[in-house]
Amino acid sequence: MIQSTEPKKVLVLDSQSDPYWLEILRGAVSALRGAIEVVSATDAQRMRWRDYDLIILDAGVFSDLLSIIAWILSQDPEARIVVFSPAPSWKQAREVMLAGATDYARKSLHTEHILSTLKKNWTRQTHEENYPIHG
Amino acid sequence: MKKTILFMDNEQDFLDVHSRLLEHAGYQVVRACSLKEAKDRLEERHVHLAILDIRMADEDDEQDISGLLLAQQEDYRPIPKIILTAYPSYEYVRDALGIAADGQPPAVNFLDKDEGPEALLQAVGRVFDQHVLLNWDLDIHWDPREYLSFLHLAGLLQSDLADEVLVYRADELEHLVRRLFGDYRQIRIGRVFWRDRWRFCLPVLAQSPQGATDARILVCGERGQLRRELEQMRELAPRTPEGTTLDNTIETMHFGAATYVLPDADIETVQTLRDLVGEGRERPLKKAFSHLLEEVLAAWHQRGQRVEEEGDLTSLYRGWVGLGSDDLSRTEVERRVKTLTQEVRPLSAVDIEYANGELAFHFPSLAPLICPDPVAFVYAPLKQYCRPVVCKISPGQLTADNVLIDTEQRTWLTDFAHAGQAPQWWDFVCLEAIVRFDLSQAPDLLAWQEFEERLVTPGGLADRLQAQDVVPDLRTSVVLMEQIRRQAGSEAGLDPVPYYVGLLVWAVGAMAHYDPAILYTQAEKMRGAHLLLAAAMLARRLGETLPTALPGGTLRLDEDGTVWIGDHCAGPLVGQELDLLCCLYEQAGRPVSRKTIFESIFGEKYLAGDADQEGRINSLIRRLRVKVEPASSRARYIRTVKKKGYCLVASGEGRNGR
Repeated sequence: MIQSTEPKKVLVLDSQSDPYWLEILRGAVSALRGAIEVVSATDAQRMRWRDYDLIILDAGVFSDLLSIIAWILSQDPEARIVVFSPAPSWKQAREVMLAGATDYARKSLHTEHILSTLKKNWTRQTHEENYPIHG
Repeated sequence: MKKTILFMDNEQDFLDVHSRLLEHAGYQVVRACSLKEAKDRLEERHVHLAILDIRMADEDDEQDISGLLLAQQEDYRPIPKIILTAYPSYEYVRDALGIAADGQPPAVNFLDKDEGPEALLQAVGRVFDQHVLLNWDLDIHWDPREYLSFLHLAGLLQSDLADEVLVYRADELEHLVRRLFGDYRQIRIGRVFWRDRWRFCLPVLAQSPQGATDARILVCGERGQLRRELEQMRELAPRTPEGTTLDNTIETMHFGAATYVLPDADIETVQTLRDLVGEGRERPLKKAFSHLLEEVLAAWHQRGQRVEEEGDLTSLYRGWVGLGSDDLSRTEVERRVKTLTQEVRPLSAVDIEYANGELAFHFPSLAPLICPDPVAFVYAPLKQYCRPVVCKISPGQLTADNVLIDTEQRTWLTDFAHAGQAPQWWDFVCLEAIVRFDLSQAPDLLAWQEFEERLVTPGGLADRLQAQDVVPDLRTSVVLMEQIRRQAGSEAGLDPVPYYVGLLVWAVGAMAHYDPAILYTQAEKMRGAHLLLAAAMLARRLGETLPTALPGGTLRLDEDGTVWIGDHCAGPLVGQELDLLCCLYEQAGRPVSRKTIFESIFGEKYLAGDADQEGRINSLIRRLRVKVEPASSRARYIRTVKKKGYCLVASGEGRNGR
């Protein structure tokens, strides 16, 4: 399979997050040679989710996390969504992952933790080619 | 088939109480209180869902995630799993529900034991609704002309299993079918078109709740093998909309299944190539072969070609007929061909001899037909056709049963397990071999001999085959073979030699599949006799065309008894044959007397003129020559030196003749 040489595009849906954490996130994405874009939840309606390799949500910002995940997946069923939580719990992890999030992690201030989570989810899941197979 | 759950927990009381709860709710529960027990049960039984505890080795060890590791194992990927633990953490949830390297999460849900039995029941119910997805209401009907059942089909795939395990495998096959035909009201399963060691293929008619009928070809087999087959198909198959089209795939713990659509085909009337030949009508056969050659196979061949730098043509062909380096040894092939010769001898008035590197057929009232050993040819690099060899994408192994034909003589392929790059003549060779060895009928070996003579005579693939003299039963076969050869000639060139080599290797490969331990019918033995005759005549034909085709180079004996002719391995030697070669090898280039040979090999005193001793020496020399001499007709390495004995000429060069 030919790997794309385009930089990975990461979307952070989070305008109210701690700027310090966003800076750490930017650094981590940049270390992976990716491009990051931060948009507010109000802009979510106009987003083309398919344009992004990874979508990051801050669990501390959204009260209706599950509906946001469901909405993104309704627009792009193959979207890879990683939820960062300032206070992670196994129940929330179960909820968001059963809702379709790809991963759930602590909103750590340590770059290496963030990097490790990003790396784990960096490659967009490959799906079978969408054509009928003949023989 | 009951909804079955594997429940693994190392707390026996918890396991028993919750298992009873699930049983009370209508589920069948297979209990396991250790990892090993769980693995054993999963290997043996068929379960729809597994409930797995995380800490299975040591309840107090925070590092113990053995249950989670089991859930992550690829072997158990097709089984939906619920992780149930007394120690929930978000890290465990990530590991359980996060997407693994294969794109699937190890588990489909995660529960804390403290959430109680009701939560467990609800989670189990959801898994059956959302992940197991079996069509429990599907009515399954079998063709009344066939004696088929899931148990029978499971036996086709895994005949060596104990009866009680086979029952579970039958459940697993039923699971596949109920999942594949999840949207239908009823299905009707037809006869098995073909089967091999690990797969079967049959047609299925499916009726939707609205009454619409769909037709599918179902191929089912061992999970890993089938997955590889589908990967090959996805990568290599031509994108022609009228060809066999993959519809759906599904896996269980041991099996995989794929359904195919044959676009526009009436599956109720689709038959195999063997069926069509059985009808004996030339015109539809010609039309079907035209479609197969010019439409179906041509599309595959156009998918790409590669020049194979490694390996010569014969070794490439050998790989395709199960005579590759990892398959049967040359010695075993020779043994089987020899046994076949003995088995077919009583079948006809023709006396067949396979000795001294020759295969001789003594037909009554005819001069003997003496041919070089076909097995030696199959293991000899074909000098003029060494490398490079042009290979094209091939669907793999065409047989009389895996090519399907409809009433309009359109053809479809159904077996893609061996799809890959093959010598460009390979598919044509397979088709001719099918017609020649599997579908043609002749009254006796003499008729086969006349038939074969016509097939090996042409000097070009476009040449006409003289059909008028062959017995009427074989005329249609000759016409079809002309058609195949014309297409082969137009795609791969008119030189018949690489084509004949392919046929020879195919025939020897087919002979090598005659297992001496198996009881064969007269008809099967007669096919063996035909293969033997055809292979011998092809070897003779190739020997005439390619006098230098046999391996050449210096003879070398390794310390482990392996003999090499140049870079060709002539095989290992043991016993007296090895002793004799060592004796000659040590004196290479110098004659070794019969006395020296006899006394050093047999350890007895040599008595000149003793008929028994002379016979033993002659026999041993003959046996050694069969093993190491590439051509039986002339000894290049172990030469007779008149009145002196024998001399090993390691270079194989110089004066020929015994």
